[in-house]
Amino acid sequence: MRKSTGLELFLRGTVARGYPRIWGAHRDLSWLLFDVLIPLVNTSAFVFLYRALHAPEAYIGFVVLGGAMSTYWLNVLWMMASQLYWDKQEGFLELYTMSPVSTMAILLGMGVGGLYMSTVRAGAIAVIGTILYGVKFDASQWGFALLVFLVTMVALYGLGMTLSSVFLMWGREAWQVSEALTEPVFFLSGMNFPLSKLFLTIPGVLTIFSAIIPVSFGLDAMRQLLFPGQIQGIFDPWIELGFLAAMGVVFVTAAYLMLRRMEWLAKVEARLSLRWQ
Amino acid sequence: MDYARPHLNTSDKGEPLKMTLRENLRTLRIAAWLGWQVEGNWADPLVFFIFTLLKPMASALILLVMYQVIAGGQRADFFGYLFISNAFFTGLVIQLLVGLSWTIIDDRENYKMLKYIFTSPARHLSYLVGRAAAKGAIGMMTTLILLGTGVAFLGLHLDVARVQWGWLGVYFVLGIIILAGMGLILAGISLVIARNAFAIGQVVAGSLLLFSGALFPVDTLPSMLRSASLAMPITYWLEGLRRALIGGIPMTSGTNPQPLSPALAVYDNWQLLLILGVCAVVSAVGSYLFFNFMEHQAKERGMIDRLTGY
Repeated sequence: MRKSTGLELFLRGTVARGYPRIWGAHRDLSWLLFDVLIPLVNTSAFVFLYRALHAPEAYIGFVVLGGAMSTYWLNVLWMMASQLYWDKQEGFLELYTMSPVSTMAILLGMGVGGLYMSTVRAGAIAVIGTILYGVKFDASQWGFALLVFLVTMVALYGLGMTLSSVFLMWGREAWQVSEALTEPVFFLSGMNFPLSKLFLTIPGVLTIFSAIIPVSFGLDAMRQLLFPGQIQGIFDPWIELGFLAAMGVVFVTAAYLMLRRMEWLAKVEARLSLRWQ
Repeated sequence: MDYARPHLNTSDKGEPLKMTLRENLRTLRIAAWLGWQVEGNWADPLVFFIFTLLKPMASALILLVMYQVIAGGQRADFFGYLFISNAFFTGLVIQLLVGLSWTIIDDRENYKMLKYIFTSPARHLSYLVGRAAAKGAIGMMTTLILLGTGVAFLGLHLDVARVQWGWLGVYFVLGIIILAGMGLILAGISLVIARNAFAIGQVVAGSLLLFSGALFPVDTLPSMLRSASLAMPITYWLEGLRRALIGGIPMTSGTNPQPLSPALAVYDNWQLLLILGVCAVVSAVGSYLFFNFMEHQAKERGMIDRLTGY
């Protein structure tokens, strides 16, 4: 049997980890109902809150777009960052570590599979939300908006990979950290309101935290492109795209370095197979 | 032969009422302690405290910014409505609804302890109520801190002299009974489904966020959704709590104040009490019967120790 090495092995590892996520999504569609329903219902609650406050109609669009983007953050948090914790609980992490495949390839596979699932989910929320609440997007710069989205995803999933290396060391606190990070990131990334309004409200140090969450600038740039003239962005979309690209490079590099370090530490401290602690 | 088996392992049939009660209380007490340990023993108390507060605090800040962005602090009446409802919703509704169904999944799939609980003398319903008590205590702490933070730092106006303590106590207790009943029903459903059990509590809590008027007056909803909203006990519970804390029906500010929610303003406190009282009885009895039925179903289908990897 021919042995795979190098890039071929890396890609085969990626495909092997991505396959169950993509294929599994088609085998049992019940997840779609729940995963679309939960964010859609939450998004609807915020839509009606804006309506109760007599907000301009553009804000409804901001909330729907934010609701769609929230699915990516949830995916990164629960199915990337804390995934290695679940894999450890189920006994898969030992198998990954014993195999010749790089952990980066496993994480990339998770990311690609998760991106697919999240895109189905986000697309459904965006389409249903747009129809239900009559959101009017300006599609004149859709190509640029798509580019911003893709670069945001690279940075976001790079952040997910970095976090997963940290989560590798953790036990039950991984669950708690994921729980604790969900809503604060929704707040700091301006999922439900323009980022510029948030930056006027919170102390300066928090704006730095906000800026290093890729969804923040990604969402701000996309809102500027899809709702032109109805929102004041933090920076011009091109500048925000530059930030996002830089973040993508930094996070992916950091993930590579940290994963090696954390995997070593986890072996030294015998945490790779430690469960229920 | 009775002497051949320890009396604690027998069914309720033929067991003296006093002993049944004692065993239920014992299970409840130990389950509440266990629940507290499961929730809190992964970190030292300060870290646990911070982590417990981060999520509800962030959700309150989201609402604060949304309110500030649009109203610019001009509608203090609406802010009070929003903040009080959210504090109770985030603290208690989510803890009890999501928490109880999650307890089943966590015990079955993660810790793999559910089968041992079912094979022990522990009273299953009391066990879940005990776990709910631990979650309720954490939820209550969250609610109190949110309200305190709102008053101290975020401009929430609560006049202690106007708080109707009696109504607050009655509404609170009835709401907890209703929520615990709903949580038990979701826990019962979680016993017999394999996939997506983790999402059931979230779907119900999310739907209640939309339909219960937690974030906005139910009058904002289209008529069909408003009818659904008025059919939910949590809508009346939150209204009762708002009234008790504010000291009357929430009204718009200005020279000509109107009820913030005309649809709920037609009910006086006694009518709310009647609605919530009936709902609490139905919830308590219904959830007891439903959970026992689901437990039987789960045993028949061999689902108590089933591992799905979800």
